[in-house]
Amino acid sequence: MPGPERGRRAENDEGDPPYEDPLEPLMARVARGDEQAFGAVYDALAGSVFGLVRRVVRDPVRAEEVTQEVFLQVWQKAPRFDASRGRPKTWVLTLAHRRAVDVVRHDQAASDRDQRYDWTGGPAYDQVADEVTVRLEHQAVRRCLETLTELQREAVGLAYYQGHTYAETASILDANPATVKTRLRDGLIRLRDCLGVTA
Amino acid sequence: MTSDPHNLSGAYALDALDAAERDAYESHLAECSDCAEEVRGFRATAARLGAAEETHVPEHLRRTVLDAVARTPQERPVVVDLASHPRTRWATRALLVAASLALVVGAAVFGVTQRDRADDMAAQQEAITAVLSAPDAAMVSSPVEGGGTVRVLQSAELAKAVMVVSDLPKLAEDEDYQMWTQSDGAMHSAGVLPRDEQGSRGAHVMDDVTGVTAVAISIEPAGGSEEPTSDPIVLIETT
Repeated sequence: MPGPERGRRAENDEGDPPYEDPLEPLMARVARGDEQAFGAVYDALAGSVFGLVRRVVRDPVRAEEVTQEVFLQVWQKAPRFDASRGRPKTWVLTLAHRRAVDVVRHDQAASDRDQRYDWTGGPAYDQVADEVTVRLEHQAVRRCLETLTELQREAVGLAYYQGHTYAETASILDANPATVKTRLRDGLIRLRDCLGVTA
Repeated sequence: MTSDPHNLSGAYALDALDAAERDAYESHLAECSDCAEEVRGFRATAARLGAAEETHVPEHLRRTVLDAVARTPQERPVVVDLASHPRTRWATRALLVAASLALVVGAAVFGVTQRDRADDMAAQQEAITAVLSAPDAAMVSSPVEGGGTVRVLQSAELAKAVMVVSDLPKLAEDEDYQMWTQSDGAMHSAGVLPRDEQGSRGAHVMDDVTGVTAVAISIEPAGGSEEPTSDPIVLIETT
């Protein structure tokens, strides 16, 4: 996944093969049980994992627990990580999202969550170590979200950031579930192309 | 609600399916490479949405996570399908052995790959798979004096053993670890441990262990010795 990692986009622009994600050799070492390499993977991805999880589960204390569970999963599953099927960051954030969603779906307090996604939120920039990179990435994502139709944007936000199923999303938006299903796919296609995702 | 599974790729990639639909879609994915490709791109896109939420992490979390990791075994990589092996009275035991060894063997095989010893790797992998799948496979593990672990996986039926070394401390330039097999009360060299396995992992197949009563490792002058010149730092009796 082309991310905020420096150099990645330049390589793509020059037509070079999609190489080398610095996390790939680290993941290979983690797969061999290398705890030091795991520490480096944690340092590279903890901010994204915690940020995403907190966005979905909302409660910071619960978010810490979930983040811990996610990284433990990363450690346990590392021997089965297949680099040919996606980049490590995508894999880890996929695990994180799924876990966060499982948590909110089983959480009774979920019913108290906001019924509309608030796009004005975002990470606390001033506390972020690599502030500029994160800010740029956040802006890129936001800019691309702006290119979606309102229904696409609402649906993607409710599903991804709040962990709603598409059926729940349809109910919240008072839309047809089949339409929401299609809009989620259309929206992702548009986002994928806007963000230049090649994975 | 799986009438039009192609349409579910977006909802799937966003984890917006309920459990039943998710399972159904995953079986569809296994048969639809276009869908799998689309989902890969969608997952990467979703990860961008997630990464944009990057924020400061509470400092103490790192220690908590690393402490938990230090206590937690990893899953076995896909090395061999034991389920396809004929059931014997040993099968359950072999399965347990395999489960406990899978990480370390997988890691060791990977280590071989890293060193580009492609031929060795293929042969080793084959031998390891054979021993792992043997119905009488048994494993013995021992800590090593000075640090590290040695595990021996053996099959009497195949007369093969695999010695897996992990985390032996690095030695000075003028010393090497040397592996030995013991038979008829004498020690026979099984080769010098490659230096890049010091502080790391490696797997060594011992092809004919008929009559072997123990395997051992000692520290010898660089290049190895005809017979051990020091007491073994680890000695594991075989059966």
